[in-house]
Amino acid sequence: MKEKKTGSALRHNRWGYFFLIPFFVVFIVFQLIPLVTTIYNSFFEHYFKNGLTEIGPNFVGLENYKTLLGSGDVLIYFKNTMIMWVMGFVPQIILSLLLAAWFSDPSLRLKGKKFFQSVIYLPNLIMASAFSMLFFALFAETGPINSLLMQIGLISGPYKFLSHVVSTRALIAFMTCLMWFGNTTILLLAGMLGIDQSLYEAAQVDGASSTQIFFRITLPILRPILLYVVITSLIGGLQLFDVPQILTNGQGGPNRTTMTLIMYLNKHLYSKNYGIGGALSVILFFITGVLSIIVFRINTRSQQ
Amino acid sequence: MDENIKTWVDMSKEMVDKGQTGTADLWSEDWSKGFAKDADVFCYFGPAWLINFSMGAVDDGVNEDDGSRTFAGGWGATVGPQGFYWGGTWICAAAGTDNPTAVAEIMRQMTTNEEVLTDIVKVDNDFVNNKPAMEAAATDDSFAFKPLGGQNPLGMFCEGAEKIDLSNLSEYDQGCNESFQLAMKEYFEGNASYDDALQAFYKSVTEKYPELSY
Repeated sequence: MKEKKTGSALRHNRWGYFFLIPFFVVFIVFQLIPLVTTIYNSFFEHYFKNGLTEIGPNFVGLENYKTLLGSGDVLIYFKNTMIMWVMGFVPQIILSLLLAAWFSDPSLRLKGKKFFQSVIYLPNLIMASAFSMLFFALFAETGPINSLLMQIGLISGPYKFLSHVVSTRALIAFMTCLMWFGNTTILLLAGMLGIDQSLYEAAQVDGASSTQIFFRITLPILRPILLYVVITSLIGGLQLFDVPQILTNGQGGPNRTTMTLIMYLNKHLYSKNYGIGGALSVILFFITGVLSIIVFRINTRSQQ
Repeated sequence: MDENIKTWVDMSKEMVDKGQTGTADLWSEDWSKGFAKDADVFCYFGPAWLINFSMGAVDDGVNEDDGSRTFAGGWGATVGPQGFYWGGTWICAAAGTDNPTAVAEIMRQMTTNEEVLTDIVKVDNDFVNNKPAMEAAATDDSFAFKPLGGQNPLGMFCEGAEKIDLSNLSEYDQGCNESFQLAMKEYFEGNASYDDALQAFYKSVTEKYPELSY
């Protein structure tokens, strides 16, 4: 009797493994195998000469890493990526905190909350490349923004937005901010709505101002969600590609000041350079990992 | 590097500084907007296909003459000081094809049959690799180009084709040319010195062609 029971329990448990199979199959085929082959490829010289003649694969050890890190370009493109991420993320988080605070405050009695929550998410539904094309056309030398500014009389001749470092970076930052602030708002809003209302009531009874409530109650309790938002945005920011790629026609202009790490990776795909491309991916993997650990550490430490 | 290229850089820099030429990228919207009727571009420098393929593709509303939606007339073609070519159309067979003889026959017809080639010129205004066909078309008014308002530029193209120097060709030409123009754009717009732009060009080429070094 006893034996039979354990037998059926075992058989029952087996179903759990069956249900896990789809995840592991997808994970192994689409994540693990590419990850391992990328690392493997990074130790080989392997590309196509002029798109047709295959060169390699020849084992070259760490030569690809030496080439990449030796030129110092990776550092420059990493800096570009981070500058554009900060330029886009700072206004984004401020805007999102403000909107989430307003949406979650019942005393404001906002009307049409649901409507506006959907509307702010809408820019994210447009494909980044389409969004980028739109800005490319809007801010072209002969585009509508230039003719508008000229008609108002602010400028006498067309301003080449994409030929100046600050304006190009600002456009990219503005686009990422516009695309992602709705997403961040909704995440923060979910966190804020989870805060116990009695805390706010107690603070109000004690005579705390709304600024004090925000900085002393909302922000500390929101910390785990904020941490999540910062890390996901950082990882997303490091992978910034489609917006600057389309906006600058793949050149990262002017003078490669808006060239991101992934755009640089894409440059090596012209010759299907698996070796250098793989090495760059591995470097990017480490940068992402290290940055995530740093952000995570800082936040958990200050929490203690 | 050929000295003529430096001459082109210096001349272009001077023209950009004086506001005589734009710095729009090839194929960019600012570049193709100039084809339209109401644009204020004085001239374009380009190969034979620029006329039908690029200028002819501009949508300027319905054309009253022939009901098409492309820009007819308004432009004229003339010969520049130096013969050159840019681009081309190829026909290739896939490796391991089941019908090598049929494919070979199609390729032969498409590239050597004078009748077929004349038809290509008539319909697409392309410049085909057949001297007698092109010379015959050059003297026939029915081969006139729509964007040129009835001008037949094929005679000029035939003359230009004779002057093309093929001695310095390489498989890297197009990639190098494009990289060079994009790199020099930064110099023209004052974002980089000539030497920096040259370095950027070398870097861009070695990214495209890892087998090359500088």
